[in-house]
Amino acid sequence: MRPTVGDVFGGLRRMTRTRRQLAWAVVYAVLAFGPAGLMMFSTPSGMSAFTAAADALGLLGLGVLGLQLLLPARWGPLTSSFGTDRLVRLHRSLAGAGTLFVLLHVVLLMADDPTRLRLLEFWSAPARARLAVLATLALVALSATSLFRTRLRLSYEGWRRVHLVLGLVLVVGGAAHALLVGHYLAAGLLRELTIGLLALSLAGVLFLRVGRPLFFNRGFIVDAVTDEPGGVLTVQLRADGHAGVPFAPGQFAWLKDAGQPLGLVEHPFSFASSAHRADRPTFTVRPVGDFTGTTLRGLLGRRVLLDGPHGGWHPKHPERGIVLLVAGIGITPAMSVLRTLDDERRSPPVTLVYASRDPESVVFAAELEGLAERLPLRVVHLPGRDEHQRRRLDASLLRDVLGPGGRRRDVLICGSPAFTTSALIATEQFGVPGHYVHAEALGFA
Amino acid sequence: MHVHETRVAIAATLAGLVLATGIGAVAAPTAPPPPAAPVTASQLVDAPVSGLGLNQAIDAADGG
Repeated sequence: MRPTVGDVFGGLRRMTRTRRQLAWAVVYAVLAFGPAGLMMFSTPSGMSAFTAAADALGLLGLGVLGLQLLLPARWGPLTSSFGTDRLVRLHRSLAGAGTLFVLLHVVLLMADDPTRLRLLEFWSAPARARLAVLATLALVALSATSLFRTRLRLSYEGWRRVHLVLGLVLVVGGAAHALLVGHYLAAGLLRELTIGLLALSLAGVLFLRVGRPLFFNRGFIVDAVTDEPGGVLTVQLRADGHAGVPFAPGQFAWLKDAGQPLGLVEHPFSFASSAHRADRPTFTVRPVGDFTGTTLRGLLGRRVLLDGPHGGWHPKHPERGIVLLVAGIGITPAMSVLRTLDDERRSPPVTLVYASRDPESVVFAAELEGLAERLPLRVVHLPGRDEHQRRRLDASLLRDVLGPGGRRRDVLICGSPAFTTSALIATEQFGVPGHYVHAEALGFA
Repeated sequence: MHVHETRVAIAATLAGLVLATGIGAVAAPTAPPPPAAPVTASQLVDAPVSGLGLNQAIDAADGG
């Protein structure tokens, strides 16, 4: 029996996801804040208030930054609860909290006893202080390379290598520093918890960089790489010795050359094909960098590893109708939705609002015309450059296109970060409840 | 944009700062107890001290 629309989009209901998210939030709080909380009950004698608070901040920083290695590890139970893109956003946001804790840790220690400034004399300082300096420098470099990657002209692959190495120096160096200093961690439960947290963080990195490519990712053959109208490429894969990887429209996967399973060269792409053809997934990409411009073409006929599916859109009431607000190459998840509905031979009303630079850059124009004849699909093009025809995506446009009944439809947004922001504002002002809206900003990884 | 994740980070930051402040407060040394009043010989005599140690105790209390 063929799955229905609801089946294809996944069975996770909102309450289930919310409860799982809550449970994970508690686990995170216990791991990140629990060790520092235990410090309440084990203050070493003769310690000043400032030093005790500084030690707590240091342990908090270590906890938060150590868990940073786990958040983007694409671990199934976590990604199915939050979505990989949201975990990456949390990874970015929480980095600020961890950095602040570490910086306050250093400042408070120096302010409490300025003679500690001598510990910054690297070559004469004890090992525990050297490790602290190394870890802090790694943290500063991590922040700088992440915030100013483009200005520093770091390639995406280069940045990933730097990010991984600096992250490991930070967490391992920070943990070794804390254990050598002693104080609260001289012995007992707190010491064991800190070692356990370090082991957990390193396990996250090992799982992502070694375990997933060697044992979990499935192999596919690149059957075709086709130039499409609109200046994009479609990569057609074929499952290599298996039945394919089931996915839902709106999900994405990382592609990597199977010849270099432990390399860091991989990119995330949205599935563009029907979810009913899991053995032959396609990805349509706009060539903008080394990987999408040249590497993908070179993979023709070769084996690639597919890490996914990740992310996901979980519509609440797809039977009421679906609204797809996309821009540029953000059309790919929308195509996956439409092709899936086309395969099912039944569909709720679908409205596609598709913003593009000009008519020449519209991707899948001919196929969309065909889909509009077979499905209850309305396509609204928003040409970007023509000032006379130009119309912005805002609440009034949604009101005109969807009518008042459109406020209770599931909305999928996909495009550049600027487009995604505009679309979110438009849906909010139009009156669509937030839980009906799912947004994917391109380039999140 | 991504208000939810920003809120999570702000909440984590505030929770950490409150926790660290609490740990600092717990570790803060309390005011030293007031010095005990000098013990007089008569107090020691009245105390239930017996045996050969009594004279030594009286000498100690009197500064001897």
